[in-house]
Amino acid sequence: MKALYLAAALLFLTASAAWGQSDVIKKLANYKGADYHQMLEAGAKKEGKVVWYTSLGGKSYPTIKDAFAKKYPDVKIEVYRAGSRDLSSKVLREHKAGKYLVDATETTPGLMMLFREKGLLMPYSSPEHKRWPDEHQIKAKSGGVWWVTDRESFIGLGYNTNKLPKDQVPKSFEDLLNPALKGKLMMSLSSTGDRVMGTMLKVKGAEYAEKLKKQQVKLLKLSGAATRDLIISGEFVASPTVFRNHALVKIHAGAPLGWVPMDEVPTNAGGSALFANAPHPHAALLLINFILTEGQKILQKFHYGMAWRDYPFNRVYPERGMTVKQYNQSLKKWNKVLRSIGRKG
Amino acid sequence: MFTDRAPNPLSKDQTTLQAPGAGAARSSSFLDILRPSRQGRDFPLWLFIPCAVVLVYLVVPPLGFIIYGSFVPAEDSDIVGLTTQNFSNIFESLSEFEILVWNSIVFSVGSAVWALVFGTAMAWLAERSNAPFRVVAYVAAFVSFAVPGLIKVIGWILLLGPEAGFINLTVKSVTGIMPIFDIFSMSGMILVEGFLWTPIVFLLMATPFRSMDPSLEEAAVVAGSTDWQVFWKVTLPMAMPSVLSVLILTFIRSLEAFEIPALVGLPAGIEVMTTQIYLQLSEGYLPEYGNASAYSVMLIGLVGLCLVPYYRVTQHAHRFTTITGKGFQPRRKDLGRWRWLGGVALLGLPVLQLLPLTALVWSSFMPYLQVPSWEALSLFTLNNYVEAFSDDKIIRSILNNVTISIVSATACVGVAFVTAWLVTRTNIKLRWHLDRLTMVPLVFPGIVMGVAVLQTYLTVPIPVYGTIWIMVIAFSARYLPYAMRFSHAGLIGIHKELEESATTSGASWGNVARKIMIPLMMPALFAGWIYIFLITIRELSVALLLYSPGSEVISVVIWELWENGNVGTLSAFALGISVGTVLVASVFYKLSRRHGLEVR
Repeated sequence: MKALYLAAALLFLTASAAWGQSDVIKKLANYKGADYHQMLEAGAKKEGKVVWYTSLGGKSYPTIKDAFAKKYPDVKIEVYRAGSRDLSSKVLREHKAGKYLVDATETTPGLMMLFREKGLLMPYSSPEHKRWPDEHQIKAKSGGVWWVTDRESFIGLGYNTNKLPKDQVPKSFEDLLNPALKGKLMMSLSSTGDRVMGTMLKVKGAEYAEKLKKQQVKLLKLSGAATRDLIISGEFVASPTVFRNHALVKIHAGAPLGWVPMDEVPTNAGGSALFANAPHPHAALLLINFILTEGQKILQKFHYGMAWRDYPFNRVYPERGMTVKQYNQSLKKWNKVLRSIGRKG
Repeated sequence: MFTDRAPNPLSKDQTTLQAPGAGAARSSSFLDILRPSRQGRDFPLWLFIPCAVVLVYLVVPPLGFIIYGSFVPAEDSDIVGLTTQNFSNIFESLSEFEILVWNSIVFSVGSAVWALVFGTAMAWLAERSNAPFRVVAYVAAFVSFAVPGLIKVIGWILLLGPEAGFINLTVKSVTGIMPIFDIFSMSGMILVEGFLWTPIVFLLMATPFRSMDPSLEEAAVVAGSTDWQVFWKVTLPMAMPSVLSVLILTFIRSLEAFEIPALVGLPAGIEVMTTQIYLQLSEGYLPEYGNASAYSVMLIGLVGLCLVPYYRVTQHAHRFTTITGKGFQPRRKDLGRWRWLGGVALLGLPVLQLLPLTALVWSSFMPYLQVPSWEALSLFTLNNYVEAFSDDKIIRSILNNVTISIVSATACVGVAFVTAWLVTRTNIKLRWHLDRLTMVPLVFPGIVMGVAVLQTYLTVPIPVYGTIWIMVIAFSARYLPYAMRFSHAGLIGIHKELEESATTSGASWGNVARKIMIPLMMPALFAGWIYIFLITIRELSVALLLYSPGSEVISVVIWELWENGNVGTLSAFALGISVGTVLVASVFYKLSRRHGLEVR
């Protein structure tokens, strides 16, 4: 019986502590005082640490990490980088275990919609938001924003310029069916690949998958940056799952790489969000504000797109207009089709 | 490498524990069955209970949670309560499931046969012929164990990639044919998995060839048999139990393999059971724990089924005894002018271990992945090494791994030592259950153990998730059977009278353990410890599901670097780790020789 009482007391204390922490975060997230930045810095210094989960790729996120660490040497920054599916899986299982490790995230909207629906995010206010057009702020009814679109990544065709003559470069999904490309294409087995597959099905219809299967497309469980590097190395001639920003970094460095948009360009409109149970909320907001200011320059240096700019291609956002459940089911469906085109037999 | 005298963790032949006599009195209460029978009244019961608690804690919850998890509906499902929906999902697309099982079996049989043929041929050359370079072959087998398989797989991908693989391009420059071999295929999976297993098979098969009584072969020669007839009708049948057990062992281990199916199989569109479990957890935004658990349960069943013939084979091994009390020197076949060809074949073993590492050496000095050429040499850089060993995450992963491996190995060996002692030296009636309990994790492939431990600590309020301790628990459970076999083998070699004399002279159990048993068993315990230490550094599938920021381990960092395309940094890091593990293994090798463990 004593053990039962003890367990109940522990549960109560844990719940009270979590509620207390959540209340602190809520107040902090809505803070609009003139000393906003000083208050964050002082609080972050006291917390001493921030844990950041991101699906940003290539060298962009380590550069942000290093720049933040340099500017705030008293705040240790720990980063977990994964594709959005692995990121989702990790956050959800930590939530299930009642283990609140993560403070802030920078990832794609489909995932943040899910986190928001699960009650994992806390809307926040920041003086930096006023620089963002209204349509790129995802506002909460209760005030504050869930996230703002701090970068866009465009998915198109990356190809090896040494291996593919200019006149043979595919310009559309239909062109990918060129028999000369048989066995030479690869796609990333990730949510990036799923979104491209979804876009292909939308544009070309269900029968397109069957035709693409005949091209013997290889599927690799790799990030966007790794996919790009395999094209540069010549291991594959082309891939329709290459991010424009990843490609531009290497094109400017002289790598034998080209990038072209397809009929429609699936776009990841990434944003930064605060977790409702962040163990280091001051440091989390400090990091988010950093991403919205100096981080923007870093992201632009790595050729990420900006939501309010015009680009000479047709951007699409596959998750828009869907509920979380619909989007998750769509991802699963697209993933199944993607895997079927890579499967032998 | 430790010879086969260090026990095969799966084997029960040398460690088979006899069940208690059929005439044992039926117990009337739980405490009764815990109590020792008459001869063992001085047995310290206090040792049995904590040991049983630890074993139950390590083994039962993962098994329970994986079975329970397979009946829990998906998160976005409308089903309330437990359901068989997860199994229905699998059988709904029966053809896909059949393909999965078929792929798993083809891959496992292919790898096992390939490794067996190649490893056995090498073992025969090393032990039964006068081919040179046998010492080099043994050293290569030893080194192969120290270098993590994941590193070698990546090396093979760099060598045999269909468009830019170094070997393919070299062959193309001579023959114009491209590619000569595409690693992203079932044959590529089998080839590389076979290569990984060849050194182990070589070591396991070397013993029966070395210990074989030559009189039967000599009799066959006298009776006029040709060399081939002697091999086919005498040598091979005598080695048959070893052949079969090694074949099944390799088959099971290939069935459980994750690295090659993930890195080589998935790009080829070839899915097996282990990759399917992993994909179920990363398909869509909501992980499909139910489906993953259902697949895990089926894989456990499949591995369990395969263990049955394995035990049957090893249990009847005595009928094929090759080591007897007679002193003899096995006959070495004089290969004549083919002797050097045999030597070249033996050199295949070190070459196959070094080739993938050379690919990594090249990549580690290049700013980005590219094929070897004179022009590329101008890009030579040490940046990858600077980047690899100045990254705090990489350094942390090494420290984490060393801590996890030391604690897991020590915990496994400690628990196994006490358990083995209880099982062999006491009369307590429940002791056989302890032994059986330690064997349960054998049916858990790494990926399944990862899912099981994850399910457990997401549910049970023990705060280990997000720390390195969850991996310590998972590794301790997974490698307990191995430690148990090492401990048991060490213990049965020490006569009970030594302990009895000490006890009669008034020594406590602790003193007896510390001053008599542990020093005498040190070689076996040490061997078990090193084995677990090294294998936990290689382990990927468990760690991949259990790590968090701050608790990364070496294999996970390598996996992440590969996924993110940082092949240069990966190569530099992987080579550093390989050198480190080989050095550690060499130091332990020397130490264990000094302590009397028979190593070759």
